[in-house]
Amino acid sequence: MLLDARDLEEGTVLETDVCIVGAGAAGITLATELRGSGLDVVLLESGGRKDEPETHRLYDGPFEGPFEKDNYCLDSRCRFFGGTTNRWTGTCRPFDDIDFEHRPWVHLSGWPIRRDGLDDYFTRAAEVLDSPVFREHRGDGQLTPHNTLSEDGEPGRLVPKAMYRSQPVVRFGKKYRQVLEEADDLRVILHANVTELVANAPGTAVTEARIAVLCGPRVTLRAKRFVVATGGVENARLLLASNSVIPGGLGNQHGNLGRYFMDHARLRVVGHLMWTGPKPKGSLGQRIRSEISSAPKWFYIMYSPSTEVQRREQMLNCGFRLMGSQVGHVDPLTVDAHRLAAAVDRHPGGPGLREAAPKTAFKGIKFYIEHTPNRESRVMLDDTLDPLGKPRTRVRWRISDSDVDQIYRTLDLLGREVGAASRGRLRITVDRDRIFQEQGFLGSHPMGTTRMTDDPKRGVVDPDCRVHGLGNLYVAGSSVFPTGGFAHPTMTLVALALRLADHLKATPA
Amino acid sequence: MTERAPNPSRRRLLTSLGVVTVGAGVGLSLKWRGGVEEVLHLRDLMADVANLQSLGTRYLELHPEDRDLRAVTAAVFGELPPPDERYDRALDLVRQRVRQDYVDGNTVRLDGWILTRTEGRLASLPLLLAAASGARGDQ
Repeated sequence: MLLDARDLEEGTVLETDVCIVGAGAAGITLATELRGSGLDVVLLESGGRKDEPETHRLYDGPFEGPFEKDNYCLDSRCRFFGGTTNRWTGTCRPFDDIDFEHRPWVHLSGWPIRRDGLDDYFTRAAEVLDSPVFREHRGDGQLTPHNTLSEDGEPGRLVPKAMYRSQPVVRFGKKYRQVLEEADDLRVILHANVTELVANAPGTAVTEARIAVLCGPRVTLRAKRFVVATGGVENARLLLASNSVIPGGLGNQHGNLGRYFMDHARLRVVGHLMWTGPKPKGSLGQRIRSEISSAPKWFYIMYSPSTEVQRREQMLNCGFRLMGSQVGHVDPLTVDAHRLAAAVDRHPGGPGLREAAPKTAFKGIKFYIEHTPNRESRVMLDDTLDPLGKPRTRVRWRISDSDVDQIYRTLDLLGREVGAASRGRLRITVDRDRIFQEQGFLGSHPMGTTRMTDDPKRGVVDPDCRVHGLGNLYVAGSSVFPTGGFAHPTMTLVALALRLADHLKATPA
Repeated sequence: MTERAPNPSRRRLLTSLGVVTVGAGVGLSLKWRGGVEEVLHLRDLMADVANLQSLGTRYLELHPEDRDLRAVTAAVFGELPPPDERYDRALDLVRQRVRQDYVDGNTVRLDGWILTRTEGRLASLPLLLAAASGARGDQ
């Protein structure tokens, strides 16, 4: 059933078994899975069925980070039915094994759940996302057997990984609207903005959600269980703003709520790879396509340091793409580097610089990196209020030197890999002190602000995604990720939402 | 790959390298006092890398410790190949050393280019040769 909060009477009190706040990828997945389970469900959505500027501006808030020009809070999300899937690229890839592991060299790494425990959920998530599932989605996620850039048969230090995209891109609001409308045990309420979740007096459970409507009524929803699924920034905002009973907000007894904010900083072009060897027969993509279990509609390849190399060299995870690139000015040093490589490598028929440049001899290198969890990167409540009286967010993002090191160490690996294989040479084109200002842009993948831990002192939610200390409050979405890997977060957050649905169905309120 | 004729004259070699005037321009402080003849038989290989003036100059600016012709030659080729050494053998030697440098991470960064130290030395060798020739009054 699809309702609109603007049609409700002032002071209306609703009741349900499970209240889900937020109708994006996580919330809609959860609601869809709970159909027919015997639980009555209400799914609350701040926006309507289409984008509305007044509602969207409820996201607005200051952002402090390496991308000062970007209005992160406004530009990175969609606030209407379907959430940010209304504008995403549809790229799917599960996180790798190593993303879940405790890595002594990565501060606060280690998920309290194992990657292989999610295998079946990733399979189901692929169905939800119309994404194919491939065998390389299990384990360390690298493709075989052509694992090297060198093609010389030796184990690669950099390994190709496939990023899949459904065609057409799945928009959750469109794809799942009908099934949600037709469900007897589910009410979707549009234009319902939750301004606070109110806890009981001892602060052990949430009793009700206070709902406000722009130029409309104030409503109350009482539920046995609540799930916050409003995105990586807004999840923290709502819990921080729910402070009328517990000062500091829900789940913030140890000061971790909103902290450890992460995204995937992306870098457009950080270097150029100059091919000096002959092109291999058949593209890497074509060969991979012939080797995977079923042909995907669309995918692209990213390279990462192998799991072994990440462990041995104590590196963060990351991925880079080789993109067609125009090199406007071929400077004398480049000409010399090409001549030198040609003299040393001696590839008969290799591309000459004049013949190949600038379109085919060079590949630009585009980066996605994992970030070290940083306590000083955080979502906070601003002093200003939005039109509903809820404190706006203030997001602060700090990128550590070790994160920048990761980029240059990976480029060094790539340069060594292609050089050792006599296939090319690499030039880094960005100074490290200007790298984010010149080439950085935002991944719009907010994560980590309600991180999942066994120990309540180190996080916000437990391995079941339940807020530490509150028996009936859960969080869904990428805000529970303790670390962020390099892959797009949607497939992993959908897998976790499916897992949470199983938990809610299996456990009594 | 064809075998190449050995031992041209010293002046002919340096002329073919096109670097006679370059070495004087890089302001090298040479330690080498040996004979140019010792490396003449590398001329074919040198000819391939003779015009890497930008790269060689930059390498020597950033790595002034590598301005000793004898030491650099030894570092590139292991030890000076015998005069009748074939071009292919010398090239193989360099290629193996370059590959091993990449594997071991023995690399340098020249204005962003990631190259091996052997490659940097190779690019600078014609400059060192030319400068040595100039120091001996061969111009």
